[in-house]
Amino acid sequence: MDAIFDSLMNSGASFSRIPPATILLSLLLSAIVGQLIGWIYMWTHVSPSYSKSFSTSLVTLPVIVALMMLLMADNTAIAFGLLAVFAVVRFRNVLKDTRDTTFVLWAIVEGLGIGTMHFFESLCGLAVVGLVVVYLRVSDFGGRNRYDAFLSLDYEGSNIEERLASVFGRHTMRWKRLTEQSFENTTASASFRVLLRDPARCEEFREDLLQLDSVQQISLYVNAQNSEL
Amino acid sequence: MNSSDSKTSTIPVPSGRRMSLAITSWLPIAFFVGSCAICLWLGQIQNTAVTLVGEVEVVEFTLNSLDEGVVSQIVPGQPESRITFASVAKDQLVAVLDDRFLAQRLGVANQNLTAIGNELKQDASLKSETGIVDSLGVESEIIQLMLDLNRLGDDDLEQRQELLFSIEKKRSELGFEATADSNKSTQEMPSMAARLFRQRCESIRTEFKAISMSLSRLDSRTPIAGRITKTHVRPGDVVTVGQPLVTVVPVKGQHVVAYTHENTSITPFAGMPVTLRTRTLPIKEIESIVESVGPAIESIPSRQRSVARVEEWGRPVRIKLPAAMEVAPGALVEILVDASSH
Repeated sequence: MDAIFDSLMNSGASFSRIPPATILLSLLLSAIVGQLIGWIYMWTHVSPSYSKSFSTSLVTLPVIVALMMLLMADNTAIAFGLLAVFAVVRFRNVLKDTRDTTFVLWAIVEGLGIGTMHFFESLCGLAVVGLVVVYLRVSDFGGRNRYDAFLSLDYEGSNIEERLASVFGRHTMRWKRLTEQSFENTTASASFRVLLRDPARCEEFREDLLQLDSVQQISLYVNAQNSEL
Repeated sequence: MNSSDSKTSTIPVPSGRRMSLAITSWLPIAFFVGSCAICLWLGQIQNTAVTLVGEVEVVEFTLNSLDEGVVSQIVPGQPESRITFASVAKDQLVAVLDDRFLAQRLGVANQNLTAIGNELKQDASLKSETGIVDSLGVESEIIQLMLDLNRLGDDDLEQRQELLFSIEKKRSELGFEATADSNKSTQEMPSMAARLFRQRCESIRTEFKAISMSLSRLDSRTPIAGRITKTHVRPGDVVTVGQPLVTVVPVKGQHVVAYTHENTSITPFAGMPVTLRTRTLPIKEIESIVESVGPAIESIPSRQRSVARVEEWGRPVRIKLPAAMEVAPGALVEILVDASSH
């Protein structure tokens, strides 16, 4: 096993002049920076067209770019090669999703690294980028899952929030009123975003709401992940 | 619990959902904090365990011609096509200058000696100078033997031994005769003719000494064992004193030269312990010490930089390469320095 590791470490046209600790530090640091960029993007994003995959790409891209820079170092020929391969892939495929582009770039960089005998760097990159991608998947990074259901209801009277408080307290972990509209015939309409305690019991939530005297009609949309809203 | 109670009580959050919410809420923070901690640890490692790249010093030894003359042989016994990278032992003959000119000079000197000898036979007053002429004759014979020895190859050991024995024998004869002559010269006051005769003898002796001296400079022997990396001349070339003949490089390196970056946390000093690690398989590690440290910051050679084209600066350190570590000159080795121990 040691022999295999040694041969991976020492084979290749260019013996890795950058110590393994430095390679790992570069890749991890870029992941940290990427995550910070992702968070800042998420927190500062205001337009309705939010994309979760774009946020995850913001975390992954710095790691891939750092790996690319480690591999290219001072080699202009490799840089041109990378550009050419990426251009060919982009020319043949219309990559609509940023995440897809990230994966294509990752695959190209890995191939470039192995093709230029930078085995250790390539494997390190594979491990770190793979870890980041798995982490993003597990943690549902970029998903705005503060609320997982959308409730719209028509009611009579006023102070609906006070009347709904007991039901909301029972079924939701948090909720937020989005809109409220009053009509001339003493009826009103309001919409809420809620985070259900147990999405499997959303029917019970609906029933509890309908049992309230003032509530006339409700619409409840539960979605597993509303990240692409 | 009645129905109204069950309607007002908070419904429990399923453990799966609780876990899922916890993961989505806390995992990014945990990942961020964990990554920061690992980065700090790796940064600490970089600061404490400094890894330098050193190059095994290449000591090129260029053999220069000791005398002027014509090159007759380069690395005798080796075909010309195999001279480059040919292995040579210590004191091995690597270049020989043509001795024909010296043989010619010896012939002329011998003719003068014969003329003096004839003169001595004819003039009875010079009879006391017979010893000097005899000693010159022995000197001539010694030089001739040396010429013969020079023409022999290193392989012909038996004949070489014989010739060396003969030379020693003649030298001992010469020493005896010289002592006898000096005894005579102190006892008697030489005549004018004898003094002139002695002067002529002395000029022949001077010529013999010059020939003998030149003869000893015909052979160039390598002072180190190694391999010939370059031949500067070919047989038949005329060379002057100090002109390069061949370049020999030892097979095994003696020292490693590395550079400590000017912004590194370590301050190198003579005697500083380091660990040398080969870059060739199987990887070997061995302890050594810094022998000397350069006085000034210098530009690091491109091979030892992390990125070859980007200029880096550092202080050179010379590290003893232990005998147990056999690394070819010019090879790169890694030097691990534990900065925390200094």
